[in-house]
Amino acid sequence: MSFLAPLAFLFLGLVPVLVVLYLLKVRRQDQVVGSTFLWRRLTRDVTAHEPWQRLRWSPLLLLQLVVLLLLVVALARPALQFRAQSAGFEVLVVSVGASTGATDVRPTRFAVMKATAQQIIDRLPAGSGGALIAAGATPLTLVGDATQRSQLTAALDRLSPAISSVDMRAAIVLAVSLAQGHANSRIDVVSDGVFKSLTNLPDTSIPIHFERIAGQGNNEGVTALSARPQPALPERLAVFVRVNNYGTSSPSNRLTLLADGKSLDTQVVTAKPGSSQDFVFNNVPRTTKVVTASLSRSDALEADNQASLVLQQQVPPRVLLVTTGNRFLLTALHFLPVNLFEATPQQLGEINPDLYDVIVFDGTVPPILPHGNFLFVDPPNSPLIQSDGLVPVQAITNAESGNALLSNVDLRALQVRQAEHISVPSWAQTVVSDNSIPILLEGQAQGHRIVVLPFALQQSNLPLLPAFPILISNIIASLAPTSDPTLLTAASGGRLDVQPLQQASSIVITRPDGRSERFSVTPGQTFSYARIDEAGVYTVEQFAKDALIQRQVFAANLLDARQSDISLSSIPKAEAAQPAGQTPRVKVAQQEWWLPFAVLGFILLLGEWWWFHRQA
Amino acid sequence: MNTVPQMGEQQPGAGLLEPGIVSRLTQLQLVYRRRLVSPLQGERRSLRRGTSIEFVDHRGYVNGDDLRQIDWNVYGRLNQLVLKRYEDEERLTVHLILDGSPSMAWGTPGKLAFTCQLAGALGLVALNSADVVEAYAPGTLEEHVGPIRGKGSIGTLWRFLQRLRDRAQAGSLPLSDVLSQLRKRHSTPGLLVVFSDLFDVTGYEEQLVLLRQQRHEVMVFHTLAPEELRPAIEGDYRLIDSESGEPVEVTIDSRALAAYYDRLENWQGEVASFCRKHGIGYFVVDTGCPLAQVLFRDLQKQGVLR
Repeated sequence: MSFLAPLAFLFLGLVPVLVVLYLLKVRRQDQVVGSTFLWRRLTRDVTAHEPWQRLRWSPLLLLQLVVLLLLVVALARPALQFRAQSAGFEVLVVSVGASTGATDVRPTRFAVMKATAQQIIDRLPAGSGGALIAAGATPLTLVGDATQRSQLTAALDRLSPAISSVDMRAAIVLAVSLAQGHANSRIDVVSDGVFKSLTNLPDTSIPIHFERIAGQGNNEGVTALSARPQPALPERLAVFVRVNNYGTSSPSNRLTLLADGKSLDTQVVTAKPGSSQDFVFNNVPRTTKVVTASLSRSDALEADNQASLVLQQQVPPRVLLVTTGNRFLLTALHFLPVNLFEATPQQLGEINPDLYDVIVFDGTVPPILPHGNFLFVDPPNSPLIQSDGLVPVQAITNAESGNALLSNVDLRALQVRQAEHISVPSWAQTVVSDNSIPILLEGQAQGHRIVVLPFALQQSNLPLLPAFPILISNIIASLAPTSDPTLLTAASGGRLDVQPLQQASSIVITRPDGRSERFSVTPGQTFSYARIDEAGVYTVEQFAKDALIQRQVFAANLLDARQSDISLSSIPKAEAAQPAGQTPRVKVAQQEWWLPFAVLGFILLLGEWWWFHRQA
Repeated sequence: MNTVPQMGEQQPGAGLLEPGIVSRLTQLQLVYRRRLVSPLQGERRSLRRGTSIEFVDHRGYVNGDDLRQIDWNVYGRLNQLVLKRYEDEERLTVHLILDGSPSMAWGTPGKLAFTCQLAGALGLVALNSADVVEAYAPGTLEEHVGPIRGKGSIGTLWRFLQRLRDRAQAGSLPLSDVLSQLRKRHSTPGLLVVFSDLFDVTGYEEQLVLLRQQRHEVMVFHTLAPEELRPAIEGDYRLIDSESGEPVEVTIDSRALAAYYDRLENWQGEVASFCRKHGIGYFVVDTGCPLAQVLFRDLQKQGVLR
C-alpha cells in the first residue's frame, strides 16, 4: 500500500496536541458559592481536564486518537498498487462453445471463464475502452466500442454458452479488426482451448494473451447420428451412432436408442480411451418421428451424452441427375431420402430444371445455370469453373476436418488417377486437395450453392470406398438444407433460423426442458432464435393470431468430435501468439482506499459523541 | 407596658422592617396547631385549667386550695365546698433559631439578612399575640434575647436582630449542636422556628426528630438565595464552598444546569418528605422575593400566618 499524499501525515502532529489537551488544566474562574453540595455530582464529565500531573487514559481519548489516526490516513490517500493494462483498448474474446459447459472446473468452465473475464475488466484502468466478442461457431460482437467498464460488464452478463463449435480464428480476426486503430490496444482470449488449431492468424502487432480455463475431465459423447432407409426392409430404418471415448479409462457405459421416447435397444459401449465405437440399429420403425441416442453414464460434459434426430418431417428434396450414365452416382443417390430424377445433358433443354432443389451435373456444365444448387462432377472447362486440363493426383494431403461435407467421411484411402486442374475460383474454397490440386471444393456463386468434385468417379476408387455414400449424402444435405433442417448440429452455431409463413404473426418455441417462449414475427423476415444452449428437441409452432398453422420439431445436438474432446487445447504458447519483441503493455495501476478510512473515522466519531453523552 | 411604635415614630430597630409591613403584621397571628402546657399565661387556649373567664366545671375542695376559688353560691344551696374551674389561657414561647453557618451570609441579598427580617416579622406577630419570644444569635445559644413578652418588647428583639444582620461573624456551633442544646435547655413545649439553608453536613434531622418527641412544634424555613435556586453562571468555574473552602471544578452549560436543577428538586423533595413524616412544617423561602410577598402571600397561603 502506498500513500498518494504522504504530507498529510504531518497532521499526526495533532496527536500530542490532543494528549496535551487532556493534560492541560482548564483555566477556571473562581466563584464562591454558599455550598458546593449540589455541584459535586456534575464534575464527572470534566475529569479529563483534571490530571495535569499524569495522563489518565479514557475511552474518549482513545476514540479521539483512533478517529484522528483514521482521518489522517484518509487524507494521505492510501492506494493499493497492482499491475494492470495501461489505459487503452481491451478486446475480450470469450469462448461460448459447447465444451465450456464441462464441469471439470467447478461450477463450469463457462462460469469460471466469465469470472476471469470480469477480473480482467475490473483491472482495466479508468478511461479504457473495450469490446467483447463471443467466440462461437460464428463470432459475435456483443459490444464493439465500449467507453466504460460497466458496458463491458453488462455485455459479459448477457453472455451464455451455446450448443455450438468455436471458430476461434474468426473471432481473433474480428478482434484484431476491432482493436486496430486504437492506441495501446490488447486482445485477451479467455477459452478452454477447445477449437481448431490457430493457423494463418493475421499478422499484427497487437498483443494477444490467452487465458485457458480447463480441467482434467473424462468425457464420452455421441459424435455422429444418422438414419437411412434399408432397401431390404422398407418398413425399417437403419440408425447409425458413433460414440467417442475421450477419457483416460474404459468405464462401463450403455448406449440406448429411443424411438419417440420409447426405448428400442441398449448396447454396451466398450470404446477404449481415445477411440470410437460405431453402432447400427436396424430395427427402427419407419414411422418413427424422433430417434434419440443416449449414454447412461454421466460425465464432465453432459451436452454430448444425448443426440436426437427428427425424421419424416419434410418433403424429400427433388434431385435431378444429369448424366450420360453413371451407375455409382445413381446408386448412391438412390439410397438417399430424396425424390430422384434422371436426365441426359441433351434432355436438359426439354425439361424445366427450376423444379429441382439440387441438380447433379456429371461431366457437363450448362451455359445458363437454372434455379437450385448444384453438384458438379468432373466438370469441363467453363466460365464458371475454369480448368487447365487433366493432371495426375498424388495423394490426399489436406482435408478440412470439421467441414460438414466430411462429417463421418474417411478419405485416407482415396486414390485419384487424374483430375481437372481447376483454378480455385474466388467464390469457392478447397475442402480436400493434394498439395496443389483441389479434389473437393464448395462455395456460393450467383445465389447458388455449389460443390465440385473435379474428377471422374471412374478415375478414382472413391465409389468403392465406404465413405462414398456418406460423402454424397453430406453433399446433398448441404446443397438441400431444407431436406434435413431438423438436424441442428454444433455447426449451426447454436442458432435456429425460422422462415415465418405468410400468415404467421407469432412463433412459440418450446425448449427441451418444456419452457416456452413466444415471439412476434414479420412474414418475409427470417426469425433467428439464438438461445440454442441446451441439447435436445426444440418445437417451433407458428401461429396466425391464436390459430396454430405449423408445428416443426428441431433437434439440437452437439455432434462435434472436437467439442466433445474437452481435453483438447489448441491454445498456442503466448510467445508464439505474440510477435517477437511484443509483450503485453502493462503499467502499475492504483486504487485509492481513502473512503473506507474516512467512513470508519466518521462512524467512530459518532460513537465518541454517543459515548460522551452517555457518560454525561 | 411598652406600646408598638406607630407609623412615623422613630422605631428602636428602624431599618429592619419597612413601616408598611409593620402595620400589616399587627393584624396577623401565628397559627399554632396544638394546645400548650405552659406555666405562663397568654392568649392561647391551654390544656391546663386556669384563671381565665371561661368556666369549665367544679371540683371538691381540698386543704390548701385558694379560698377565693370556692363557689359560694353552690355552698349556699348544697352546703358543699367546691371550687370553680376555668380554662387556662397560656402564653406560647416562640424560639427563633437562626442558622449561623457561613453559607447563610452568601447570596444577594444575603440569606442571613433576609432571615433576620423574617424573624423580626414573625417575632412581632408573636408578641402581638401575647406570646413569649426568644431569639438566638446564629451559632450560639449564649447570645440571645428573651424571653420577652408584650408588644412593647419588640424594640428589644429588633435591635438584637439588626445587630446580627450587620455583623459579619457568627458563632461556631453547627445547627445540629444548637438544636441539641436547645432541646436540653427547654423541655417545655413551644414553637421552634428554624431558619436555615440546610447545607449542614453534620445532620440536623436527628435533633429535629428529638425536639418533636418533646412535643415542640417545629417549623423549618428553608432559606435559599436566588443564585442557588436559579444559577445564572455559565462556563468553566472553580466553585469554592463558603463553609469548607473546598473547591469544585465544573464546566457549567445547559446540560450541567439541567442536572443541577434535577438535583436541587430531588433534595428539596427529600427534605419535605422528612418533615412531612415527622409533623414538621416545611417552607421554602426564596430570599430573592420581596419580604412582603413572603409574609402576606406565601406564608398566609401555606397557613403559617392568619
